[in-house]
Amino acid sequence: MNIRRSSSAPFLALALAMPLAASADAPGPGVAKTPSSQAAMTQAAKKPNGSGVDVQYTVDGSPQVGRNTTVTIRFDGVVDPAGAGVRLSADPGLVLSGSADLRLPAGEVTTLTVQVAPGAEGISYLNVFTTQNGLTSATSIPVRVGKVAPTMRSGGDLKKTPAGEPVISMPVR
Amino acid sequence: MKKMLWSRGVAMLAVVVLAGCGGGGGGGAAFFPLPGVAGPATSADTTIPVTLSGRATYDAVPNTTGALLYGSISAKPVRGAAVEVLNAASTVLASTTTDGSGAYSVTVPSNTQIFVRVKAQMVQGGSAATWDVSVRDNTQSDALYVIDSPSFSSGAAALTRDLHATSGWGGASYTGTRIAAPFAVLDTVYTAMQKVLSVAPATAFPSLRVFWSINNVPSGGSPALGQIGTTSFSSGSSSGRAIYVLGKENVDTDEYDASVIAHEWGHYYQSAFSRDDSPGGEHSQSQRVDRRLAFSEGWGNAWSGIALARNNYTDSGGPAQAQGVNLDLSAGPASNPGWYREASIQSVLWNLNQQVGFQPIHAALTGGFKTAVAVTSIHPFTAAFNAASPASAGALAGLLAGQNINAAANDPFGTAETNAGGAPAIASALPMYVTAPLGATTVACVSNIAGAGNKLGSFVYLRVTAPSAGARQISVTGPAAADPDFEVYSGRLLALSNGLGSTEAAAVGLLAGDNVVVLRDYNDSAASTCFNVSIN
Repeated sequence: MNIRRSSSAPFLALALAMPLAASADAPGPGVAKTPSSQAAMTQAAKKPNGSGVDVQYTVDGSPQVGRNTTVTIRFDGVVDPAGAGVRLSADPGLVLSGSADLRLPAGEVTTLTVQVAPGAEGISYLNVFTTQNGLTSATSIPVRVGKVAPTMRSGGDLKKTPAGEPVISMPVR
Repeated sequence: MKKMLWSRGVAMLAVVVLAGCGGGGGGGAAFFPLPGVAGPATSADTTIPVTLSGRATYDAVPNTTGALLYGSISAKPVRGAAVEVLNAASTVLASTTTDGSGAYSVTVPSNTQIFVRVKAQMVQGGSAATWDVSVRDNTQSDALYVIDSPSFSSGAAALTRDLHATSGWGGASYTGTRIAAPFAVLDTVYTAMQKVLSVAPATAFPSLRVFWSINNVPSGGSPALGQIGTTSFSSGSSSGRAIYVLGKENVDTDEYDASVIAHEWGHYYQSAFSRDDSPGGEHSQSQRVDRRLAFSEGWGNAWSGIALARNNYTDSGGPAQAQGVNLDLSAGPASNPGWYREASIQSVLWNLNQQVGFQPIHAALTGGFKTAVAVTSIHPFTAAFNAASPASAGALAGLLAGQNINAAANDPFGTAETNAGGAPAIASALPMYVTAPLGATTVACVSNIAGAGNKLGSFVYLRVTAPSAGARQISVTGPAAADPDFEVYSGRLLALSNGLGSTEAAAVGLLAGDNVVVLRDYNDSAASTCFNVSIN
């Protein structure tokens, strides 16, 4: 795990690398524009009434089975003086290297890099939980191996009615 | 109130005529069917209908304080859902709808191999209240969820078949199919619709598709892969109005988070019956946000409490769904309340419902608020509410004052507002609308002090009064680092212009009277970015 922070605020937490001077601009509402300065990272959606911590991420290169891939996550929007918490968890089959917990100081942009190793082709997720002011949000970062469309799990049997409408048939007793 | 009544099949009274043989001669009783009178079905007879009834239920997992309480699962009725009885060839032999207790009753041919199907769908047509709500799997061809009973013979006499959808919870994780989930979602929608029907019995609800899947994960991308971003309402998808719901175990599931479903349905309500000019985007309770966003999200939270008759908002997540959010809807923010805080709006609207009921709120939202020239926020709501329900104006005024929001009775533009947004100060937060005379240059400023995109100060609002309808050239010039964009409203969105660069210009057909230009800096470039705006 590699942590970088940038802020005018005092640097209080453990840091394993030099501070990163990064812009804090999240994509705005309305019709999307893509200035080059905003194109590098993916902005995670925020749930209403969530932590309010802004999460952006990138997954380097083309992930391969059994090989480490670097995931870079940037956190912003920490306004609680007590800071915010981060916990990482990987889907089954995705191996996360390093610590899974982190504290985010208030008023700083924190950039975290971690290594994940997919165990199979398809999509698996690195799940990022952020907590601030007692509110928690989840973001799942997709790590995709291969180009074959992944098979989606189903809650029942996919059937079609005589009229042609697809239904998920779930047997009950 | 128009209720979601089940259309019970005509109860079949099998008239049995027993004709005894006269004469005392030996033979026992025998049946002699008379013309037009049915005798009891025999084991080989499939022409005689029999009554099939039963009850559909699902495992409800409560969420009272944030985490899902699997230890308190209870069976609740599947209300208002479509029921079909099918034969082995999947031909529909009978159909009906469950009632408010989950009960159904139909007549089916006797001695026929059949099964009962309960759909995660509520449909009612006709000339009064109408609706069509379905819960589908966006990762499986948008298929409709249904529960199917085992196949059985309808036999020769009335019979009962109950169906129960289980949660699939195995004690520490989901070990079985999560059959109950779509029906839990459907039931929250049923509850929300009932609240509207309680004050507007003839409501025609536009079609709504709710998409839930065990694959739905908080990641952007392809909904067909379950990547829905988060639980959200969409009014512009190819599916029409839709709500996407998270379902990924140990990360974030929302099927039992009724508050979350109701919140998103509140946005459906705005889209279907009222109006919502919110720019959307990222936001949280702790932030000072744009007035339109504050009203929209505050309404969503308040509505969840109004519809569900509860005073808190809960949302589970994390491993085993054991973590969660618990918000008090009755209270505003601990500090810095105002027209720019979601929590202030939610507390005003939730408490207003407690004091005066939903009828006047519904009247305002579907009346003057919907057609106001001013963009959607608490001030035009106040004006619409007071106009629709003057006797309740005092109740609203008291609640507004408690959140440091000006309570002027008829001030949709917030002209009398004095709350400038708190600290750190944002100079452009007031006035709520900058007057922009035609033919003159007006200076209008935005700010990134409260954050980027959709926060307090991100937009500046100009009020433009046109003596007559017609095209006007709107020109905006800003500093080199800025990228101005604007929208024009007059009771609805009239136009938008969002090109690149530090200038923006467009010819827009303004309406006679008041129009509103909403201007922003896409780049959110500075604590104070001022534009020269001319409208000619």
